[in-house]
Amino acid sequence: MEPDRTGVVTQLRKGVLEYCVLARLRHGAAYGLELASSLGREPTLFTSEGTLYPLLARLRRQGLVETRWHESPDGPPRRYYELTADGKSALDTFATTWADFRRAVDAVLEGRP
Amino acid sequence: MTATPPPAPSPSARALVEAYLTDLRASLSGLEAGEREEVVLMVREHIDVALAHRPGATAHDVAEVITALGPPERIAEQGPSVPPAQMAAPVAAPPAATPVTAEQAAGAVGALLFLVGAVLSVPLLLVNPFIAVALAVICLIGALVGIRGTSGSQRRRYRWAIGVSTGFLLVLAVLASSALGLR
Repeated sequence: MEPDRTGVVTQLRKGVLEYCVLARLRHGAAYGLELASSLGREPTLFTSEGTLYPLLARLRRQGLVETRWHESPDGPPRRYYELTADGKSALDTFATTWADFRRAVDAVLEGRP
Repeated sequence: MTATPPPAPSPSARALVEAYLTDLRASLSGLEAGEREEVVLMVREHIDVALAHRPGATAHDVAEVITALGPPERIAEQGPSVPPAQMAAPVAAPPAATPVTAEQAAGAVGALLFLVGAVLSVPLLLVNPFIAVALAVICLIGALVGIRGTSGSQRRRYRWAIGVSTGFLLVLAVLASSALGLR
């Protein structure tokens, strides 16, 4: 059976989504709802807001993301997520690798020698 | 004028949140217990913050929030994938507790044995001075070899073993030389 668009996207997401979360944190800390809403605007990557949390839990356990609590003027205190030095380093490695990977795939798809 | 806290979500809204989190916990059964509870807690915080913007939230408000979160099964699909640490070489291992290897366990027992041996050599002097000295020397050499590359409580035990056996041998040497000098 040949895979449909959903099947292809599901395969491509694997191993990429964690880095999209790291990339979203590159310019500063964000709390869960904020991060989920922002990433949820890319339905090709995040099918729903909740898919963020298993990724965040894993990244935190790997030491790539750390958390900090901040009081909020409206509502309960919020847990903010931010990149660690290891997280920045992992993101840099991915960004370089991704550029090469994308070039190689494009070259093959376009039939360039 | 005193600020009044926003009305809490209605009981039916809270019941809906709890039902959703129960389903989520069940869907995440493939995760290790600690990680599963962490994800559930993060999602609970997400819901609490989202509902804080809707004073007196009803079951309808909760339904909107959890619809945006997505079905628990879809969230659980994010479980197994390639962890970044495997792909990014410069990334250090997570600061999680590492399991104790057989080698480390043997090292810990060795440190303790040399310490006990060094301490025992002192009273043994009264029974058999030759065995006492031999035991102290063995413990000193063993501890000097074993201490390399160790840390924490293991290293402290080795240090104590070295200290006790060295002190014992030095005192013995001083006593022996003064006894010989007196003759």
